[in-house]
Amino acid sequence: MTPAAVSRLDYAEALRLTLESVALVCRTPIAALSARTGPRDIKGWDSFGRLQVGLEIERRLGHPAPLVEIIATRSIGELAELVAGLTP
Amino acid sequence: MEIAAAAVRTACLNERFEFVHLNGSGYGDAIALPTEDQARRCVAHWRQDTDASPPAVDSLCPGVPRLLFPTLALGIYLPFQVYDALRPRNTWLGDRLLMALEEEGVALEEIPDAYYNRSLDSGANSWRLAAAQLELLKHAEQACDVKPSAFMVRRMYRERLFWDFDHAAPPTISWLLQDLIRLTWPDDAPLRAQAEAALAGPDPCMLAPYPWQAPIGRMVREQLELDWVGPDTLYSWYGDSLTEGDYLIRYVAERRALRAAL
Repeated sequence: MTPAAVSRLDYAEALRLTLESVALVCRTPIAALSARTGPRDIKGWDSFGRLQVGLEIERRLGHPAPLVEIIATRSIGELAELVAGLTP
Repeated sequence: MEIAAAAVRTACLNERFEFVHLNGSGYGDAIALPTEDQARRCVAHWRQDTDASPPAVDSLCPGVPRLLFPTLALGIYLPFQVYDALRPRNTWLGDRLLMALEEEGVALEEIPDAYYNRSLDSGANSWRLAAAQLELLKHAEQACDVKPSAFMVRRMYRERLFWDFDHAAPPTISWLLQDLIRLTWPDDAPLRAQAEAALAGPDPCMLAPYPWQAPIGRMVREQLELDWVGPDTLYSWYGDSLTEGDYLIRYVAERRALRAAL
């Protein structure tokens, strides 16, 4: 399934998308995640996990995302802020 | 670690140099610093660009050539690799699709087809993953002396360069070792030629077989058109050699037993 490209998201939408992506890739319940959760808090969120999260975010957005910047983020909230700032 | 082990097993290098590996896994192990005697005899310092290599090591061998190489990682063969806390020793060599199938109770004989279908349904794009990996590697190698991205592009579709995301297979180790030699001793043509000859061939590094070689899945093979692996390719599972299908079933069966024993 290829999702249609979505336009710029507000922070709440971006946070939801980010939480869902991290939960999927890291096999972690969304309830266990928050904006403050960082890679050190989840064992599956290593460097490759962060790349997989970036690609899952791309897939859901329907357009490429800046992976170098995504990999460098230190929390779900920071990542969501980045996602919210992206445009197709 | 594999680089140091390969260097020790390469006669033309081991006869001339002592190789000292100064770090372990990067998971908080104590750093083994060189002895005073080793530091005094040091002729070159090869360093991986990672937080696991403390800057303090740089000052121990002043005045020697110091070469930086990036952290090598390539996950294109295993796009769903993830940490699996249920595996023995809590290995990172889990597979999130396979873990889900196990937990959903899918019958063992249905696992290979179910895994393939789940791979397709995931929307994963192996070409995009490969491009993303190279983008990150090119970014990382900007700060390094060794720049492996061109090697990766040339070879990653022709042979297996990594056993998992961050464990390099012999062709990658061989290339990295040769490049370090080339950069460290650019004027020593005989040494370079000896090393090149020693590191040629199907088993250039003479390392023990990697104990857990996760299979390159059918979706990845098809998307990347990898004609050097197939359903009958054998993979190491702690001493056994398994096809992809047998491997997937073994993974699920073992994980199911581990979960039942909790």
